[in-house]
Amino acid sequence: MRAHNPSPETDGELPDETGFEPDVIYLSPDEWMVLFERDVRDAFGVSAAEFVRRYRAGEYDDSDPDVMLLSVSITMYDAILAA
Amino acid sequence: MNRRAQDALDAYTTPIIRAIKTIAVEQVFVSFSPQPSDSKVRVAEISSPQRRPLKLRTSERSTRLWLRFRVSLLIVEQADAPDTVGIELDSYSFQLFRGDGQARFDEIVTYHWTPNDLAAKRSWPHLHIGSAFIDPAARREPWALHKTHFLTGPITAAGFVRMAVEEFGVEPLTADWEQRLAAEPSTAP
Repeated sequence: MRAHNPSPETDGELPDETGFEPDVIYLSPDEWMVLFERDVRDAFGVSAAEFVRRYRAGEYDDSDPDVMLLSVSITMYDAILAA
Repeated sequence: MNRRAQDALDAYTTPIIRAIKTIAVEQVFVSFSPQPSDSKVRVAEISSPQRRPLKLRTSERSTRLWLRFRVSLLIVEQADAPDTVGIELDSYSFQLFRGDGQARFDEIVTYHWTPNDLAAKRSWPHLHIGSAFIDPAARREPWALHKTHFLTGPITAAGFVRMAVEEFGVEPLTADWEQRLAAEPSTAP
């Protein structure tokens, strides 16, 4: 993971309780995939591949907050697998 | 990614990051798909860290609010101008929760739009009311109201943050938050 702060002039304005933290953490595709797998398994107890399959089959409730969050990532998931 | 492409992407991602950082101390995650050999499209994603919501400060100390979001963008190389790219919204989810920060997170509202998702039940931008705030015993409202897709326009991160501040008492972390949000472009997200 690479940390980066695109607007360092703003840091001093943030009443940060936890000390300095960069604004942005850049994830490599491999890191992203590990975290997505973990998120999906925590939320649904299945692999990312199985989550995507079930989502596309309409097996999930689309008003579930985790479905609404993690389905956004399917495009990235597909792109990483295809590369 | 060349400089022009990076500038085009920054024009989209920086407003999102700046808006979220107006109310959230923690970091934002950004990731890019690898450059495919047979495609002109890459994917960029901006999100709160994993599924864990970001803690927000509120004017009422007894109220604990949390934020999750995820935005997917397409970086499209222009066929007739390889040095330039177009940035297109792929999908977004902006979510506000109430909870104790440990076991309990109750969804208040989710703004959701996945226009490119063929599996999505709705292709237009909408919001969902959190199920935890719908009383099954209520006489008038159906307890499945949270499943309803309420039509919205495209939502920006800045608009979502403004709603959280003005309607839910989230405390901005900077005194100039209004100017910051007002300065953000109105293009989704």
